[in-house]
Amino acid sequence: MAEDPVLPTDTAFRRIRPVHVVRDPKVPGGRRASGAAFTDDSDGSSMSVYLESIVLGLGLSGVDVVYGKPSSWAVAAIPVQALLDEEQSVVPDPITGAADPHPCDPAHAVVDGDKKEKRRRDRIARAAPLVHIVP
Amino acid sequence: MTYAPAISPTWLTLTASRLMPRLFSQAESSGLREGTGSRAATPPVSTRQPARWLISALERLDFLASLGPGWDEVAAQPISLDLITAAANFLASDPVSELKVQPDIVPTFEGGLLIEWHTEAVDFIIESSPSAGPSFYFLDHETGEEVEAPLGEHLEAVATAFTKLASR
Repeated sequence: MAEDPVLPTDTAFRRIRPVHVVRDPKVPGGRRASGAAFTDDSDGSSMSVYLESIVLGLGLSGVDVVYGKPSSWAVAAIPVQALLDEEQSVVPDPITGAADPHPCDPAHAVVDGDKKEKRRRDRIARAAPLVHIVP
Repeated sequence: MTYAPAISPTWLTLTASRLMPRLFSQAESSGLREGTGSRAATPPVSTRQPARWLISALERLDFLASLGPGWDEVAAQPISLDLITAAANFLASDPVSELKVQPDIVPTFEGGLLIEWHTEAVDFIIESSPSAGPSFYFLDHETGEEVEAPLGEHLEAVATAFTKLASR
């Protein structure tokens, strides 16, 4: 069965490693993710995100995206429209039958598109506030 | 304090005079100004001090140097000692080390480094990659100017970035 299309009004949650958090006085809280966090994965697969609409439908929240992650991991909330503006496409990619299941697996999606330019990655980063940091 | 030699336009070898020609020329001329008695014959000696952030930046580089293969739990590459050393030399060079704004140093999955300054006025990012030459991204929030280029090109944008960072 085909997945529902991802709406521009949806939000893509991206897990952010502590090493990718930078200072920026222009954003609330003074911290955001570096553009380095918005690249395809190191194994060559497209950038992983979780769709807020599905996360909420599961009775979960953005906090659950970093389930099991240690202190200082963060969640960046990327408006899907911001990804579309940067010529990215968001494709639902629910994970099933994982050896190490994650509560947000059904909300998993990938972001396809060229992310080589720093300007593109940094524009995405500036549009994606950190909405949760693991205490 | 380390002064890198001016050999080629890499961030390892970029000197302050290339990065910030206006600021550097001011500092240089202040030590060579005529009519100041014995001072005019004295080689220019910087009395400025490195910013406090330099020690933590070098500690950060030490930490990044410790990242092994797969540091992202997937397939991220470690950062080469050459890149770490180059970044340390660059940050410790005069007058980069005198900027009041602390840079963030961020690893990339391919084993590169980003040195990032973000202020109300500018976003300025220098990237050094193991697979490509160093490059930079500059966004001036006051004028809207946005430049992404190999380091060594668009030096006026680099100079503007550092001038604005130095003016804070």
